[in-house]
Amino acid sequence: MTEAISVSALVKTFGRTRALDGLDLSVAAGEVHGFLGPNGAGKSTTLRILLGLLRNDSGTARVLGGDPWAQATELHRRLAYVPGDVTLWPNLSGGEVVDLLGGLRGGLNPARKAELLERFELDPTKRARTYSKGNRQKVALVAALASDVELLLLDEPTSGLDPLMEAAFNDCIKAESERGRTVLLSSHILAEVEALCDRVSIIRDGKTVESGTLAELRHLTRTSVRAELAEPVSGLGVLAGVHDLTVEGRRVSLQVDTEELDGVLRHLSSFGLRSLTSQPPTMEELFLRHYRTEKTPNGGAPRGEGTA
Amino acid sequence: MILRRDRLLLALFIALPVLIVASQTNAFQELYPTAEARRTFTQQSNANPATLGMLGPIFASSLGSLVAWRVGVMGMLFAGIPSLLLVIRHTRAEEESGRRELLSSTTAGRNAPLTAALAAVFGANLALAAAVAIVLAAFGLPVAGSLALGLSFAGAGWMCAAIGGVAAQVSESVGTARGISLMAFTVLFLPRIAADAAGQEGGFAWLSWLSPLNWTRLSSPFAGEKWWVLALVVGFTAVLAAAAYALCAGRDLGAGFLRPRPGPAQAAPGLASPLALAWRLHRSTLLSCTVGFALVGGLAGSVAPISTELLGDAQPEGGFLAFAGADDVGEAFVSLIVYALSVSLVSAYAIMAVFRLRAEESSGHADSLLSGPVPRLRWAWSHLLIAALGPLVLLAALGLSAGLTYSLVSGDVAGELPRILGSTMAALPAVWVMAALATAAYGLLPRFAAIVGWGALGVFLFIELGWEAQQISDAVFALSPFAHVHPSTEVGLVTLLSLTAVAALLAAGGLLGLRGRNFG
Repeated sequence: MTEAISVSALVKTFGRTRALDGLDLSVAAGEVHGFLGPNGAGKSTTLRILLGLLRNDSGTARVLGGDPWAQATELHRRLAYVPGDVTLWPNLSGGEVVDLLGGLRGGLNPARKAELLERFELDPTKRARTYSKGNRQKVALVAALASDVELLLLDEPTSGLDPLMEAAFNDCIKAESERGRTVLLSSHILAEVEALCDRVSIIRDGKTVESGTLAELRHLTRTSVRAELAEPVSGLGVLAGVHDLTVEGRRVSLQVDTEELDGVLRHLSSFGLRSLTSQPPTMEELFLRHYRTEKTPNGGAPRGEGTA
Repeated sequence: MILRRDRLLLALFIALPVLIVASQTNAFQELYPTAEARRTFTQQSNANPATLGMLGPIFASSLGSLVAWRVGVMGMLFAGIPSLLLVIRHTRAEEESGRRELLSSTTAGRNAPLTAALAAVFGANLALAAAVAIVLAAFGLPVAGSLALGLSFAGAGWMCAAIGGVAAQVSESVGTARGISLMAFTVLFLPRIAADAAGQEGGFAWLSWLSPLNWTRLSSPFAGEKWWVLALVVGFTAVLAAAAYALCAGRDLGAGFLRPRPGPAQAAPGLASPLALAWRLHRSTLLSCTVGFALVGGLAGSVAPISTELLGDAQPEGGFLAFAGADDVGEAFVSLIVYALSVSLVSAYAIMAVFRLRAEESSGHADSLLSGPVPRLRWAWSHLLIAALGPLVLLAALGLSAGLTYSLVSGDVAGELPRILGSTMAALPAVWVMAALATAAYGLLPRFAAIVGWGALGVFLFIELGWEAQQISDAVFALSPFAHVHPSTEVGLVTLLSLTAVAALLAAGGLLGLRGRNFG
């Protein structure tokens, strides 16, 4: 498996602010990689370093096998970037911007461009000043998707799009992935990442806190279980991995660490299961838990641990 | 909010004119200490069409009146143009950037930004008036005249602020709004030059009333102040401000009265390089500036020969001609006007063109290019090329139109045209030095680029005025690139090449800085 992007121990400071503080990131060629983190975590700074717009203070960054600072121009022929806040020259029409950006890479496939314009319902004759944020984003997306590149760097690309357009965007990214392109998708929208990404890196305060496939990350989280039993239950509280336990007569609701699920279900079924619902962990929970835990000062107990 | 964002700019806006007024008063006090000396000077300059065209007539030979005469036209420029730009900056520019939407959604009313911008700029001008009046009174000049001169500065600022307010409502884009208001400024300014150059006996004196900006001078501070003229100024301002409000009330947020046409769905085949884009971004400004310079040059050139005839035998003393590097008054008039425009406005154009780089960087527009296969320096070159060649075009337009009209009227096209064109073009390397200084500031100190770039122009122009008033020595003046292309000096090839070399070094330093620094 070759690496499209490999970053290790990346540090970038702006004055006294430490925007990146030893960030690691590894994106395999051909995968769609989610780059998750709250606002201000350092996602855009990382992307700007990968584009050679900013220079890192220490650590290493390689993009498509090259040095993003020294070989920026050659690398840029092989990648396309959609900024989080797209700004365009107010006097140029959307169509002109798409052609200009494509032209710099040696020209766009006109059929592909037309298809994308239609798909995103974008009027290319309007001047950029009259476009909404979402429409400006569409211009940048069309320019990036219509160009024939190996790597797409997308910085919160759907933040201005409506749900219909988000669906169109998701379809496009899936198609790109099938064509073998690598995508780095920065986002704070979990559903988007969950729907599209093969692997995810979660960053916070300029550090990578988690990285892996969605399946791997789910091991770190809890499944929520509700059950109605034939007889009153006992002894659940002492089982390993059980949290947030509530018992109301024969009704039980609890959270269980995913690796302990088997033992807990065995225990429950020994009391006679009448009904059982269980929900797999969502990214949402994974994410929230991560931040809640990490943000708690002085190692104080995160919510939920106390009742176990 | 305006006061907070622009406190440095506003401080400069007030400090610069005050500094100029103070230094000029000091200069006149030393140069013409006696009433006799002042009377002679007044007679001489009122008889010299070159100075009449540049600065207008002196109304009385008192010290105050001389100062009022010397700083009058400058006051229109120094109070007027910043006022106009400031109002647009806080109305249309806010709207275009979308910041306005944030405010409008709060409790601030739809007229609030216009009101805030006008109030802030009116207030700043009032502060300017007070500062000027206090400085003049501190020199022991009569209080009434000091006040009138201060108010005449403020009057120019008020009228221009109102012009800016109207222009900001009319157009959807900041650039067009600036263009419209600067054009209006020129139109309101120009009749003055023709009227004053023709002299008071020329039968064109009424023309000078056609120029509302000139009303500020016609209030004649220190020469029997005509206070009612200031009422005219206030009336003019009020009418324009009312028009701005009426326009503002009748439009949508973000919209203007000039609707943009839809653009092409596809780019023209030529729009495929950073240079093509830069040209697209600069071309309308460059074209309108070229037309403007050609008009002003033509006007100066056609008025000048008349002045020589009017004077007849009463030619001024040789010192003046040597200062202008000319053989007669007409030529002196042309060369001084052309020189003044070259060092101030053409330099300003060049600096503005360079700072387009900064605007493209901070707006995020440049990211779209630089994340593609465009090397940073190639992108920078695309704008710098226009900053270098644009002034060439402007100077050529100025020199050709002035030279052509002047030589057609005086009848010696083959002799005069190349000479005037040549002396105009000689300013080019000095303008390049200013552009290169701005480039160096942009590359090495991006955050302070505007202060360094525009500050340098302000300082050099200030040195120039001080040198002309004999308050600053030749040695200090030599620090300014303009000193080496002044009409009074013989501009040789070595001078031109060394100025160009300095410009090249500065630009190279800026580009090196840009290549090595963080972007955005």
